[in-house]
This record gives sequence, structure tokens and C-alpha cells, in this order.
Amino acid sequence: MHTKDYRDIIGGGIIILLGLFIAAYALNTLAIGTPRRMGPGFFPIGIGVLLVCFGIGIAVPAFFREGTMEQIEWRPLFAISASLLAFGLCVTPFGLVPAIAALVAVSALADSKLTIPAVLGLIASLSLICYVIFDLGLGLTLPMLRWPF
Amino acid sequence: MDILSNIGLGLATALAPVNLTYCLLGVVLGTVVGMLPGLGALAAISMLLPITFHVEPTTALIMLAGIWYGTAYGGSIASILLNLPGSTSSAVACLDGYPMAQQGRAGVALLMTTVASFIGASMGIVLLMLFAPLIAQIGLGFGSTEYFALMLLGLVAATSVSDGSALKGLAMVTFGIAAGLVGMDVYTGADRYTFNVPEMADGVSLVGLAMGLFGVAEIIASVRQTTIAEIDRESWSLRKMIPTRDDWRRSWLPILRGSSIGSFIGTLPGTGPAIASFLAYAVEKRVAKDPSRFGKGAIEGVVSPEASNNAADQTAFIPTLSLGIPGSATMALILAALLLHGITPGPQLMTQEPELFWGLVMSFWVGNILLVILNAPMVGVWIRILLIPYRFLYPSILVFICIGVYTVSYNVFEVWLVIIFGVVGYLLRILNFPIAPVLLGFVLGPLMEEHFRRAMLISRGDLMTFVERPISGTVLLITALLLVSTAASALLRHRRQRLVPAPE
Repeated sequence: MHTKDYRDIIGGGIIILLGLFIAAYALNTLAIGTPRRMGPGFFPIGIGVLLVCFGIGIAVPAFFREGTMEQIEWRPLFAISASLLAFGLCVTPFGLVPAIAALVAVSALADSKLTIPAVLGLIASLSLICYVIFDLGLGLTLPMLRWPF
Repeated sequence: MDILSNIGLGLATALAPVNLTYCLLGVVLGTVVGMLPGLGALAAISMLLPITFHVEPTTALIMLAGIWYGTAYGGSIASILLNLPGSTSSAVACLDGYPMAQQGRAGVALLMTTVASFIGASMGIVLLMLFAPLIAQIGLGFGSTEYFALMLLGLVAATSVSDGSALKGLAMVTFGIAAGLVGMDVYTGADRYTFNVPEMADGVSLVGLAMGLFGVAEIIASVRQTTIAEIDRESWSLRKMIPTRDDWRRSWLPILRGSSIGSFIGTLPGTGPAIASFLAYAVEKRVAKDPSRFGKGAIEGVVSPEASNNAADQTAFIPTLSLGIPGSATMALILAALLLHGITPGPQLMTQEPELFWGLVMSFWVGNILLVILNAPMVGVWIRILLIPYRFLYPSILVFICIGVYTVSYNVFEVWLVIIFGVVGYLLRILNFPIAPVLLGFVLGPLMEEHFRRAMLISRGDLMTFVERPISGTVLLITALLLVSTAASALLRHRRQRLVPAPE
């Protein structure tokens, strides 16, 4: 328990900042127009203002109550994001199979219970399944293996 | 009769081999994701959205819809056998379904829920067939003013009914609308919030947003939670599925009551199958002669909510298909699938695309019959899927997500979007924001802006047009009442908490 509800203070704060940014961007770069002939900036300003209002509504009462905060699980957060990054970096130059291998290997770091043989088995079976579904089944032009050099 | 020829056309479409195959694929996948905790209909539909780019829109919709109502069947399996709700709408089935399983009556519970689900779904489909054309007829007279008001009502209702803080829900809807602003403005061609990234000119892609928010965020949150299931293999053999005469006698009225409640709840914006099943359970407990049986394996408490959530699944299509206004995030996703294929949902859909509308509706019959065949007798197969450890499942899901988004445009940018929205979605979960409203806002936002600007153009910039026109005025009044009542009940709860300190 915290003395203040930090979860909603942070959450409301982020919403306020986002709203301010959206409204400021619209004011500075987009034409507002008139109510009759609205420019591209008219609606976004409204959205930005609404977000600021909601953010205040969320954050302010949170100062006057106790609250709990869930811990961020950093390891899965980083491992899963990194595994998608690895897939994205590999798929265009090297093809699908290396991309799958990279994704599975990196994502395995999120959970310590996956052994190396299990990872290799997963890579092999997923590559086979994807070959059957996407290449043979749906006929996508997605190279399995590619040599960029 | 007109409706007979429509049914004929629909049946011919639904029974075409391609559509039949995709319908089967949809309901099977729906059953599987319905059973697996931490993977709901929303995640499954967003993951399969890319496949729909490669098939006809009717086929695509039949499959996506199959996933949606298939989850209701699958969810009850995990609830009854494992006391583990695979999705929120089947959480109620745990209350009396699991005690039944403990008494060795899991087979009966499974069979009766399948029957109840089918009856509930049938009632929903019949109502859909009767009322959707009628409502579409009324909708033909609506202009941009009415549409804007109705969409606003939909968004507000969806957030004020959903669990948790209504303000947070509203903030998330608005965040979704903001994400929908990105890209080229349709009226003036001006770039908005693109930050000179060429890929952003077409806007944030729905597939990337949905997969990040619902697929990846979900995985990050559940990687560490592993559950090992223990199932009594004896209790669900085919022989043990035969219900007694007493079971039937107790069940038929609750099934009908549940179906009616679900059918009604399903049409309302912002509610959906979860609320329908909770309400049906509450009603059964209220009308029961002996309420103390509930929670200890009362069959009424299993069949009524299951009939209810299946009926709600079907009637949810009424506003989506007849007016083009989705009542929930899942319906918004199905609506978006139509938009991606260049089809504008709305009252004209039924007359312009009769094959799509009636084909989809008749496929509901086909899909529900398939589910009955697939469910109870094949429960052993489904159980085996439930026993696959999550550590093998999540890398596989990630692979399918990646291939799915990548093949939309063969651009790695989509994968980056998934990462961004995955992280955003996870942080929103940590901060206790509801995520589903983001999608609703994202899909409806651009439509709302268009209708708003058009309405203002017609009224020569007079905001009063929204209040002066009778239908939009009434809808806005309901919206305002809803907002006031939500705010009032929140304040009341707050004051009561202050007056009566919680017991230590």
C-alpha cells in the first residue's frame, strides 16, 4: 500500500501529457478552420482537450486516497519486445526460417523453464508448420531462406 | 416470400466449400482460444485478421464470426473441468459447473451446456434474421447527425458499463480516437501526426494496433503465470454424458430464460456476453425455489448463463450489421474487417451485399451445428490442447503474430508497430486501464470525425443541429443521462466508503 494512489497519478499524468501534445501539435501544424468548414486540426484539438480533462479527472482524486501498484515484469517485457525486434530485423534479409529461429530463441529468455533442446524442437516444428500453412496452403511469396550477400 | 429467397441465397453461400472450410476453421479456433486462459476472442480475431486479406470478404467474415461465437462454447469446457475460466463470459460457468465436475457429473454438465448454448444461439440468430432488416430499414433515414449521436452513445455506453473506472474507460476510448487521427486527412489531404514517416501516411494499421494491444501485451503479462492442470479423466467419458430426466426437467425453463436475457443484452451497446451470463445467473438464483443449491452444482446455474452468452454473441451482430455501429470491441474488429475490404457497413449492406449478409447469418447456423458436433463428443481432444504448457505456446503465438502482420504489406514497419503497441498495452494493464475501449475508439473515431464534419457542413456550422433533430437529440439525451448516472453512482460509492469504513 502507498499513501497515495500512484498508479492513477502516473496514469492520469500520462493521459494529460498526451492530450497536451495532441492539442499543441494540432495548433502548431494543422489548419483549424471554422465550425462550418473544419480544417484538419479542428477535431484533434477537441480530442486533445478531452484527454486533458479525463487525465485530470483520473489523477487529481488519486492524491487523496491510498493505492497499490503492480510491479512491472521487466524480464518478459524486454525479452518479448526484443524477440519481435529480432524477427523484424531478420525476416527481410535472411528469410522466414532464420527469423523464426531468432524470435523463438530470444523469446525463450522470458521464461527460464525452456531448455535448449525444447527451443530447437520448437524452431524446427514451427518452421515446418509455417512452411505448410503459408507457403503451401496460402501460397504467400514469403522466402523461407535467403542469402543477402 | 422475400425472406425465403434470402435464406436460400444465404444457405447457398454458407454451404459453399470454401466458406464451409473457413467456418469450420473459425469455430475450431474459437473453441481452442476460448478454452485457453489469457487468449480471448479479441486476440484471436486480431491474429487472424491478416489471413482475411487473402480471401473473399464473405469468407473472411464467416471465419472471424466463427471465432467469436466459438469462444463461448470452448470457454465453458475449461470452466467446468478445471474451474479455470478461459474467457470472462464463461467465468459464471465455474460457479456451478466445477462443483458438478467434482461430483463426477462433468459429462452431464458439458453436454447440457452444449445443448443450452445451441438453443441460446438459435434464438439469437432467429432474432437477428427478423430484426436486422427492420432496423436497417429505419437506419436508411439516418443522416450524419444521427450517426454521430449513435456512435457517441455506443462509445459512452461501452465505457460506462465496463468494469472499473468509467473515466479510465473514456480516456481509453479517446486515446483510441487519437490513434485513429494519424495519417492523411480525408477532406484536405493534410498529413496529421505522421512525423515524416512515409508508412504513417495511411494511418496506424488496425492489425498492428490490435495484435500489439491484445496479443503481445497479453503474452508479456502471462508468461510467468503457469498453471498445471489436473483433470479427472473418468468424469467426461461419453457414457457419463447422458443427463437424467431430472436434469432435463430442471434445465428447459432456465435455458429459455437465459436465451431471452442474452438476446436482449446482446443488442445493447457496451454490454456483451459476459454481462449477459452474469445477469442470467443472478436471475436464476432469484427465481429458484431453493437458492442454496447454487454454487454446489445446480444445473440451472450452468445452462442458463451459457444459453445467455451464446444468445448475446449472436444478437450483438444486429446493430453492427444493420447500422454499422458496433457495441463492443470485438464487433468493432469485425466491422473493421469489412472496412478493410472496402465495404461500408450500414443499412445499405443488406440490399447491396445480400450475399454477404445472408451468407454470414446462415453460416451462424452451420457454425453452431458444427460446434455441437465438435464439442461434447470430442472433448478429449480439446483437453489435450489445454494441457500444452504455456512455455511452448507463447513463442508459437508470437511467430504467428509476426508473420501475420508482416504479410499484410511485406513491410517490417508493421512489426515495429506491434512492438510499440505491445509495450503500450502492457503498461496500460499495469496502470489498470481497460484496453478494449481503445480499439472501439480507433475504429469508430475516423467515422465519427467524418460524420461530425459532414453534419456541421450541412448545418452551416450550427452545433444545435445535434440537439434539434429528434432522433439525434433523443440519443444524445440518453447519452447524457448515462454519463450522469455513471458519475452519480461513482460519487455515491465514494461517499458510502467514507461513511462506512471497511472492516479491518
